Amino acid sequence: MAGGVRKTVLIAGGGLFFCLLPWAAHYFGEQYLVSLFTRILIYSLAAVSLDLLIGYGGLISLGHAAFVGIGGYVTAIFFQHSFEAEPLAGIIPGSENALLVWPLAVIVAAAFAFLIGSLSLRTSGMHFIMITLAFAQMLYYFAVGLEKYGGDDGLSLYSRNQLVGMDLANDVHFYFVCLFFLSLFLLISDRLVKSRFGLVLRGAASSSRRIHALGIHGRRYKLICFIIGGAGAGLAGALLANQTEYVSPGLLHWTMSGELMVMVLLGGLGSLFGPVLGAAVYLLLEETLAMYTEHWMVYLGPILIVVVLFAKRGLFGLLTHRD
Amino acid sequence: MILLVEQLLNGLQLGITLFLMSAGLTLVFGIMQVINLAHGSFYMIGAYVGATVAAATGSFILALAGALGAAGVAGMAVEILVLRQLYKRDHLDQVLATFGLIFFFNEMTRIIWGKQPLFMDIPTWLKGNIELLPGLIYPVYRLAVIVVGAVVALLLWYLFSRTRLGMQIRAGASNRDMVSALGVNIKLLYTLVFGLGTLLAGLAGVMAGPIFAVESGMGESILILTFVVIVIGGIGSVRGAVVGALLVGLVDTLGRAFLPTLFRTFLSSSYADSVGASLASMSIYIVMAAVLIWKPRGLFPSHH
Amino acid sequence: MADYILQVKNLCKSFGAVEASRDLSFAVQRGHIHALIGPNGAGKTTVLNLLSGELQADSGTIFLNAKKINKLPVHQRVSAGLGRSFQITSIFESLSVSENMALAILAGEGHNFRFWRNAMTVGVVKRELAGALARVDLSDREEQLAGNLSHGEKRQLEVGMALVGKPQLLLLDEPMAGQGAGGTVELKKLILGLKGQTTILLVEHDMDVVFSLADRISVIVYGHCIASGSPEQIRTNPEVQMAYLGEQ
Ligand SMILES: Nc1ncnc2c1ncn2[C@@H]1O[C@H](COP(=O)(O)OP(=O)(O)OP(=O)(O)O)[C@@H](O)[C@H]1O
Ligand SMILES: [Mg+2]
Repeated sequence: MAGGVRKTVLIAGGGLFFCLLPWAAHYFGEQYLVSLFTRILIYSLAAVSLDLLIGYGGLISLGHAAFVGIGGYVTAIFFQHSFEAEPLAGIIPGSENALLVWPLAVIVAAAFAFLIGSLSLRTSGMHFIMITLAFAQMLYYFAVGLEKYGGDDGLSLYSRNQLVGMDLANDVHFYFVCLFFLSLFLLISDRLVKSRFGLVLRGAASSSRRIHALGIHGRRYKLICFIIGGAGAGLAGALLANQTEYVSPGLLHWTMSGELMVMVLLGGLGSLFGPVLGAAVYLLLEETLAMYTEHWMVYLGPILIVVVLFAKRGLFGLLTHRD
Repeated sequence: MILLVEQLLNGLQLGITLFLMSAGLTLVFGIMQVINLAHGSFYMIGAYVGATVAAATGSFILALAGALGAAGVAGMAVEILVLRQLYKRDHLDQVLATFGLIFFFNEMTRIIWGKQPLFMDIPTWLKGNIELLPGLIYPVYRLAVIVVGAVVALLLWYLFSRTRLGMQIRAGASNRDMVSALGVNIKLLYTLVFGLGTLLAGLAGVMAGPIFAVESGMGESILILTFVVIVIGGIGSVRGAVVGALLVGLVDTLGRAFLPTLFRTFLSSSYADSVGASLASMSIYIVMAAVLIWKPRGLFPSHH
Repeated sequence: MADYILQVKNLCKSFGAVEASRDLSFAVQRGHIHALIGPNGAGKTTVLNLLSGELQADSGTIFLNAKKINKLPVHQRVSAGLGRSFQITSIFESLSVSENMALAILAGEGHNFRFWRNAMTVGVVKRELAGALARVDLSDREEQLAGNLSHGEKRQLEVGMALVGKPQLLLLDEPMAGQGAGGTVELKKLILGLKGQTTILLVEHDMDVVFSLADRISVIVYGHCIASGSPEQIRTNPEVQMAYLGEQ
């Protein structure tokens, strides 16, 4: 079977699997699978958005969790102000309406991505990695310092957002909402990387010197990529806040950024659909290892090193390539 | 005034710790072009081994020796087993593999020493306070940390500017092809530099032991400060590490001590405290951003 | 008076103690294949970098079509009519051959902030891609990753990409380096075929190639142009012989 056909089969099969999962869970009486896979969908969304940065923009950001956290906090803060009927900063009313809050989460995350990206993209290589990490950590400490919104302890939502025509409190409804957003983001990303913008972006990632010689400002393309990735992560954050009905500074912590990166690599860098597989495998592995031993990280660490050293293309690559 | 001097000393002490962390790491970045996230793990190893030896033998000197040895040996082992495979890889692989190392080391300490933090006593001969200036009473132990750090900085300076090994290391940081062309055993040099770096991290860890709690994951918060130092100072520059470390140490300490008070002069007190505290914890990142806008490659960029 | 497309006057550039360009002057006539030769490390690549704008000269002036360009950034020099192929192969290794070429085509087509439509189906790409690939004999390689091409094919691709923008002056840095005998013949044919379409400034070590292709030759030694002239004049110039013999 040719690589392209395999890829199509794999994606179609994956899509079918995700569509049927709630019924399967119901049939087998394993309802918790729905919320487990909701988590997988949301992390997939975050991982795909990171894959746009790393796999297509060549931007090794170690601060991607910041945008997940921002999305989550925007959602939670608006919830809190709505719940306590006390306008934000005295003028902006809170809201529990998903159609309002989620786009806002995306916009705020994108705005932060613009700020952080403009500064970080002044550098490249190792500097870029460390600077994105440092900025994310700065926001982490900022969240810890937000006494009004729970500080270290985080903030509870008491219930999920409202979405017309849907009952988000129902796990299956919420599952399909997440599936919808993941699919939408995958579609957008897939078009994006094949578009003129995407071509230039991939070119700039491959050789910024050469792109420059073609008369193109590669950095602008990278910045837009960084912003789009941040926006995707912001949406993931809003969804995650709804799923767990809770946000905490841990969302922004750099280990979260690292885990997202692991998902991307595990699934396959620069493959968009790979990170979905990566997120699923990572979270399931975590779940399974944790069942046998509380010290699962001691196994996960070396597994990670082995994957890095020996399986460059990730699982998606293994499944779609011959040789 | 007294308060200011006291806080300056505290800032100096944090700066010294950061210098010990960043001196080794910046060389690893500069010479081997490897980004190593696991450097904080050696800080943690130093602290754990130090605390254990101190508890078992009651001797701080033995604890120091044990911590330095453990961190140095663990460092060299990691270099030989893992890092070596990564020199030719791209930064992403290095980030992920060393991230895996962090998972491993953090969990390993939890398995060996349990979840509860360890506490390390200040040795009796360094207990107590000393009156530095009239009215300025300062803990002897913290003063000792500053002195040790300063001595190490001098030793490093001597090593780099006066010895053959130091010349090779410096040459390697600015032009590694050149060094191998000169017939220096690069593999051994790399292992030694890495081991030296982790040994210094272990020293920072054991000295921090009596001041902070010794716990799993303690390496990561200091690691990120170390990154900020290196970004500010410039990758591969020991001089940059000195300046960056002192800058970060002072800004962080002084910010935490004085920003809330400063805000209280024109804001209501509870609000001022929280804004001030928030800003204080972000202050070093703001400094970093400022340096970045001004000099994207750090204050002392090495020439590649 | 001759029609000069490029005039370089008193260019100086030092890297620390190394004077890579030392009061360097020469001129290139429109329509010529003009070769730059000189011993290793003479400063030929440096000149090309100064021309393309990757390096800034310490002093001196560069005229392209009688317009001063030495203060312009790289991309403005590209739109002023410069195209170049690098000495160190620097195609986009992780893109396919046709994507490389499409990128070169799209670079001259205004901004690329188009996010939805597939780049390969854009009108100009559809119109020009096949021709651009055929021109450098890469039609049967279009799906390959550029990184997997042979050394010679990479060169062909680079030259092809440099040609896409229809540059008035094409800078070629050692296009023959690393080519087998067959590749050299192919590339020679290609470059000869370009004559009349564009002016070429060619840096090359292979003297057979230089003397059979070039209309004029400039000789650079230690960053200074010691002679310019027709191949015949250069061959018989005693200073040039000295320089080359002295070096070896
Ligand atoms: N970026 C740089 N930094 C420092 N020195 C440089 C740099 N680029 C070139 N040089 C020096 O300038 C001199 C001229 O180099 P250049 O690459 O221009 O020579 P060249 O004629 O192209 O040589 P070759 O025939 O080997 O390609 C050399 O001594 C080289 O070492
Ligand atoms: Mg050259």
